[in-house]
Amino acid sequence: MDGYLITILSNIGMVSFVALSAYILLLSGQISFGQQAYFGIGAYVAGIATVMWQWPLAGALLFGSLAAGAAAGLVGLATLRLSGIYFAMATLAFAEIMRIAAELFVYRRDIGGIESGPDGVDGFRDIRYFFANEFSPLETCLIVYALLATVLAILCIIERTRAGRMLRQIGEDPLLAEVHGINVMSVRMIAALAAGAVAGLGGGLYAHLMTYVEPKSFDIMLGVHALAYGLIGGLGTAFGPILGVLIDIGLLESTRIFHGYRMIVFGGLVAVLLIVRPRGLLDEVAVSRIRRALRRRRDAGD
Amino acid sequence: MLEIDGLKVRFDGVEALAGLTISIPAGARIGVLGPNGSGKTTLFNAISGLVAIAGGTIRLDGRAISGLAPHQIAAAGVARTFQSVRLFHRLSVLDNVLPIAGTAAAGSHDAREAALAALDVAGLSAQRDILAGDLGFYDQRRLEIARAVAQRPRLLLADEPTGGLSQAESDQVVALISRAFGPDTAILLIEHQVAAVEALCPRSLLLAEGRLVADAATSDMRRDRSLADVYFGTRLAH
Amino acid sequence: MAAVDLAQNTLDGLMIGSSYALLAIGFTLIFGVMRRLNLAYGPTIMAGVYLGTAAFISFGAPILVILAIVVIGAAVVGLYVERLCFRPFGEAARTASMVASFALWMQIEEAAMHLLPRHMNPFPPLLSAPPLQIGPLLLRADHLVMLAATLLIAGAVTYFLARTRFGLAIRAVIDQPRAAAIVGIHVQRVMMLTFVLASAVGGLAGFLIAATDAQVTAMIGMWATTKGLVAMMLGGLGSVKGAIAGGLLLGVLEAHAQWFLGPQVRDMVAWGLLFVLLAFWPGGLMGSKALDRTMAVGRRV
Repeated sequence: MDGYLITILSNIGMVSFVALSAYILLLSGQISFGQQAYFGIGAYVAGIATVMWQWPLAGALLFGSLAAGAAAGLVGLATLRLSGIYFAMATLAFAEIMRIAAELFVYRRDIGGIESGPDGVDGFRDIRYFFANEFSPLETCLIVYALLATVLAILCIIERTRAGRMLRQIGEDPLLAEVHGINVMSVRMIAALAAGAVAGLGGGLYAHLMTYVEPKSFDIMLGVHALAYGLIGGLGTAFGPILGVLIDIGLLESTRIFHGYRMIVFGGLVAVLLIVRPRGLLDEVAVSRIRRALRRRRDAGD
Repeated sequence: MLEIDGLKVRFDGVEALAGLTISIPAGARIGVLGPNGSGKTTLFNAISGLVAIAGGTIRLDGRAISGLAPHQIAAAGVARTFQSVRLFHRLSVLDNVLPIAGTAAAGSHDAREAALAALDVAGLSAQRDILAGDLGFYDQRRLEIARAVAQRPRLLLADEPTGGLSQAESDQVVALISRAFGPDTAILLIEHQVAAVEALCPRSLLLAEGRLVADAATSDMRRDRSLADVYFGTRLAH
Repeated sequence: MAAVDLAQNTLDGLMIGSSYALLAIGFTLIFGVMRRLNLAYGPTIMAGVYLGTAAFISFGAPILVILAIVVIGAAVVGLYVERLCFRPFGEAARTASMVASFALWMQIEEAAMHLLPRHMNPFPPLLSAPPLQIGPLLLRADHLVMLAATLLIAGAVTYFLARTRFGLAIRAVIDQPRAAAIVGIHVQRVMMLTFVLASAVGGLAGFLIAATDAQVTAMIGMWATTKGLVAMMLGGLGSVKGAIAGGLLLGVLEAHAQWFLGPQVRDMVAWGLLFVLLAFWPGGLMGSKALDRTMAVGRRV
């Protein structure tokens, strides 16, 4: 495989984590403009762990993901009872605070004769774990997809459990769910924790793949794109957000068909698509049809 | 089993419920009658914890449930259907029922069995995989009841379960409610069709302006002039 | 001279805040009528300002002509946004509406970059009068014009909402959309015209901001969306008065924060205040749990 293709594939993989993170909250009925904050936390924490503390990659990614999840939990305590635009704005406010905090964050130390660490607006450079340990681009790409597949598999399994159905019930009508005995606040809290951890994992991968992360890497554009991917690809299944990422980055950006006019084409397409399918291509209706068709085929095969 | 004592609810200073005291024995089936705005739905909302109560207590099996969160009240055994059908339209029929089927502690297999049994009772087994939003209106009404059945409640609050249905469908729904819940489940039924109430509930409560004005046998109440007075809005005889 | 600094900062903040207030008025009108967030509001303003700038650069158009181009341009682009992102969606598809407006944000911004590819472009200054000296305080003349224009527009919008038939229709749609439809108000037309009105107010704000800076940058779209949103939220959502209060508060807060803490922390303070208000002031805001529940019950049961 050539380098360009691997780069594009890696990008799709990394952005998918943030898209899945926004998707988890969308399922619970909350619109977050701030999942990029947890992506940033994961990136910085995991980067610091491998560069400054010389941790192995797996431990660093896990720690970054946990730190992001913990932050999401704390933010959730303060924001989860808000709804609609109030929740969206509170999450955006938190994400902007974190981005500016990263601009102010300087933590430099001498590591093996090189001055390393986050350096304010200039960001955190030389996160060279993959390089130092002689991973090939293909191998790093495989690591991204192995982790993405794991997260997707977990999400798909959860969606088929009672808890997954509860999440969807809360997303559609929280009051009705509550009347039926579902503790809306605690389910939303678990969703927020999970969403934060997923975004944090993506951030940790990003920092190591790109070898740097800067405050600009997780501005509002990342958050709103992540939200849009779920709505483009569809909210009926966890594959929806991935499809959204594939359409945007995979089809439009990488093929450069509309070079220089990509957003003019893409923006118009998305607006028209949403008119036809307000909950995306793979929405609940489409997913239900596909499931029934598959079941019929399986039954016929028996 | 359900003891309501001096229940008050206020909206913007107006008393929607002005001190209701009602006692419901286990397994009782009781109609709740009264004109629009008399406080019937507000009574249901107060029991299920959807509105803040301004005074009084509600006890279920001796335990105070007033002040609990709605999900705790539901877990204590209160099920509820809504005047305007309220379903999860984007979920399949089965998925509407599954999360509340059985107890929280029940395994997923038991929950699934309970959910399927409830759909079976309501005659919706064949439709279990289609989205609730794609059901016809009569089936949506039945799904609401199936959901309540799956919850195995101590108390069912049924708010006009026959609203918007034809006469034949109404009769079917009343028959379904009558057979789907065992003798352990008390039912409070809000209905405008007195005949439907009579078919299911030997006893009825009559509310007007947030007060309990009569508590008697449904058949007596039907003959009683004062019921007509309340319904047609003429002044109550003092 | 700390007292003088404080006074000067407050004064500067009020002046800048008046532009935030204008942005917030437009946002509030749209949110009130639509109950949905228009993320393309800033880019709409950007489109108007960029058209005006292009006219200035290409033909050296006089400032009043530029003003007209900016306002009409923003109104037309606003109409486009309404058509594509809001009219086709019902209440149930609020998220889709918002995401569609984000898609158009990207689209409009790229189109604007094709019109004027440079990051920074010149814009005709509003006034070249020297600053006024009031005791120890300095006051820029063009800032004074901006403040006066804000108050004038706010007054006009308030009068329009309170006293005209169309204003009454807007308020009816804001308070009781369903009832408004029942009494014969053409809700869709009201929404469309409100959108055009709000976009024109936004265009005016954009013009004033560009003219006091004597330049426009490619950041103006993003800037207008975020500042307008924050000012609207600080003002408590839903009234012209609140929008003005929110805008002025944000301006003053930023001026002081910038003076004492620097430009980065300035933005952090604004976001921080918003976060704290939303998270810990539930009683004053609509987000409170009990209110949410009763509202949902009232709406749906």
